[in-house]
Amino acid sequence: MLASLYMSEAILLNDPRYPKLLKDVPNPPQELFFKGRFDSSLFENCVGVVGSRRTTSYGKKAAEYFVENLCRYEITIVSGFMYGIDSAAHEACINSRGRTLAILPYGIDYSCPQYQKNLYEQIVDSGGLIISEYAGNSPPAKWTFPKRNRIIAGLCRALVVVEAGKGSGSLITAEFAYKYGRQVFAVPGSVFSENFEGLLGLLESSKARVASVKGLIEFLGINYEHLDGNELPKSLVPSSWMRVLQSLSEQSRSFDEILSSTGLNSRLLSTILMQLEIERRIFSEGGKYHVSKN
Amino acid sequence: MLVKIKSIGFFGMEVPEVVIEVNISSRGFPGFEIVGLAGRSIKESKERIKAGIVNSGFKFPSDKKIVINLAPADLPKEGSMYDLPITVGILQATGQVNPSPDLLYLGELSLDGSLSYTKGSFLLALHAKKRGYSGVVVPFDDLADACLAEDTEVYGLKNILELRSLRAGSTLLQANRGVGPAVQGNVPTLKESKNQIIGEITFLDILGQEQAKRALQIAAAGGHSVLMVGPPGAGKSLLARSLTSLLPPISREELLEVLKIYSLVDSQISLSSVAQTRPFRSPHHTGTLTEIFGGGAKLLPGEVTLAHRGVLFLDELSEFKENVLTSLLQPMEQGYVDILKNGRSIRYPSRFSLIGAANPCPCGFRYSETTRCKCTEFMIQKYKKRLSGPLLDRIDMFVNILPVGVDNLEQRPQNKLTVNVDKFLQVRNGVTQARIVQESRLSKYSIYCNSEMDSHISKEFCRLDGESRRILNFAMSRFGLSMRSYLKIIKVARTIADIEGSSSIVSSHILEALSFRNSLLMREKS
Repeated sequence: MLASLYMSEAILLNDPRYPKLLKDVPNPPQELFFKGRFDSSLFENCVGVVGSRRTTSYGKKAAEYFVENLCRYEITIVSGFMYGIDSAAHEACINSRGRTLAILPYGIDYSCPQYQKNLYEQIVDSGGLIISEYAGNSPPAKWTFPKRNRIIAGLCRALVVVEAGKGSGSLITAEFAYKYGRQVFAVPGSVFSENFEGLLGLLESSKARVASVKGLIEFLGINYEHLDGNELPKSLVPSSWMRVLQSLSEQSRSFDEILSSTGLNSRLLSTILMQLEIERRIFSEGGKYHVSKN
Repeated sequence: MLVKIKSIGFFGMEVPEVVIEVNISSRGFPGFEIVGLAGRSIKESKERIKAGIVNSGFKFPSDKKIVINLAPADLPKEGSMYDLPITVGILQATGQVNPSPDLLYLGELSLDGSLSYTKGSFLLALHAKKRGYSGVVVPFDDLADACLAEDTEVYGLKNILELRSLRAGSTLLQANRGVGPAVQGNVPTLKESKNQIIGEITFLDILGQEQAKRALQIAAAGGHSVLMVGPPGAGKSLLARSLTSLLPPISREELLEVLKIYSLVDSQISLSSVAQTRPFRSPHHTGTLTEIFGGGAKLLPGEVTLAHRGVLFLDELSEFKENVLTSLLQPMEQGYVDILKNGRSIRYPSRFSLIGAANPCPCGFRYSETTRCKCTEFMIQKYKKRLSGPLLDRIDMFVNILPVGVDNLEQRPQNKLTVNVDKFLQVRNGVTQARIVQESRLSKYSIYCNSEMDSHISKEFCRLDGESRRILNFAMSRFGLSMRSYLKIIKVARTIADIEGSSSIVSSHILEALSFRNSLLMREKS
């Protein structure tokens, strides 16, 4: 769907929906424009993932790794919709069935590049938002990028910088985050890599700490669990799923037997079993369901 | 003197008009000839007609040369149905009767001049209506059949003497206005329904098997196909038969198609009983290609056509001949079969819901907890190969059936899909309502249910929201599903949404549709 076909909405500074964390920064945007379905829960646990536009394959993989793990905890991933680390982060989030916010360095209705049209759509379709400080079709300019970076920093409690060469814009985002009192996490890279030089500066000046999934999760005050495969943390697994898993851990059962032992409604059970199968928590064989051994 | 009487002929599903030309002349040797590719049964008519006319008290012009031409002369004609029109022609040409013009005739004559039940009156009446004739004349016992075509004057005669009353201006004999069959959208009320279901096998007779019941409900609602896999004795055949109690009422247009088909077939089923419900055919697995797809000398329709707009149940699917299984592809994909013989080709419709039952392995006990499977791996692979393939690809839903252990099953009312009559009626109403939604949605494309949608039409009506699309895309790579599976899943999801009364497809619909994917007799990796 064309960018212009999505309707954009505006939120003023005094709107109750205006994200609180962003409101607290000095000189916040007076008006925020967005496209997508607004949901205030999106802003509760935001982590920014930014980095160089000229990524290495390591950087891309690292960004994916962090994003995939963060998504399991229902964390919203925020980034700048640029090619490179930003795109990798947005995509990894969508593929992990998480939600992401893309902060644009141009007007809300400005047409994004052709190669990004798919990503644009997917971000909105997966429950995320496209956000901009600028109205209508205003084009990108030298000053719009740092302005946008402050928004990324302002929305998040933590910022992950994946790769940054010496003059990288993501370093500006990191500075903002530091200034706003948010925690910056720098992803370690090869000492030989150019893309690590920028981050080195942050680490040496103690403006950032070394990034790890565990460290991030615990910083956010969430209970960290070591998870395998596609597992969800226990706190996020719906109780109905637990009932089914419990029933199956007692013994492998057929659909009818699970119905009996859990007392769940049969349509709900169908959808739960399907989801559990997708997540590889259970498998079915010849009509019986079994808990996966991992 | 030349008289022309009109009737109909059959060529596959086509019903061309046939003109019986009766020429009685005093020139030439006396004789009685019938020409026009008349088959043997028609040649035999001569004796019936002669005797019938004389025994009724009419005069037979045995001193004249009588030539009957059944036009068009290159259309093969069969059967005894032309007895009556030929008789009328002869009687009219000899001035013994003077019927109103513009009538069509059909009927078999007995030696005493009475008329006996002859198939084809329904089609005759339809044709009359289509071409604007004023009415049809058929044997008295054919009245019920002919009246299934609405808005046609039907005269049912007991014997040919009654032809005298058909003259222009006289009071009409046994005139009947057509009485229409079940009209689309007619949902039976609870009270009516309770009386109706006594005597049929329904879900109420089956313990447990909630997944299978749900699959059958969805199949009934959207015309989808289902394969039930399970060991012998688990209840697959019983489940399939219970489907008849769940099928939605047949719409007027669909019924016309079905009646046309049954009018061609030489069976004991009267058209009026066909008109009550959708067809349910369950041919035995020893069936030949001809029995199942049609053909033979008369190029008659086969089981797949007799199941048109209804259900084709193939029990012991693996036991069917391989050429039968492969030939199922055409009707399942296209909705019709082409039968070719001696250079002639006829197309019969065959849009049915295929319900199949099969064992998971040759002995059937592969997943049994109590009985040991006697099959070797080699046998199992070979077995899978027989069933695997393009046919499975075209089946929409797969369900595992396990024998229900009465002792470990507690009867908790809120789980059961059908625990009492009212619950069952709810299930059936869900089916009926879903059909109504589909008919209004799809009528502009001349199809009746979701399973008939092609990929183009599905795109229009099966839009997914973001969440559903994500789940489906993820599942496709997770389970290695093909694009064909994708299409099947969204169509099934559409039906699930229709049963629920939801205009849009959401993630729970997709998840449920996914739960019926083929995981047992797979071609794709799991």
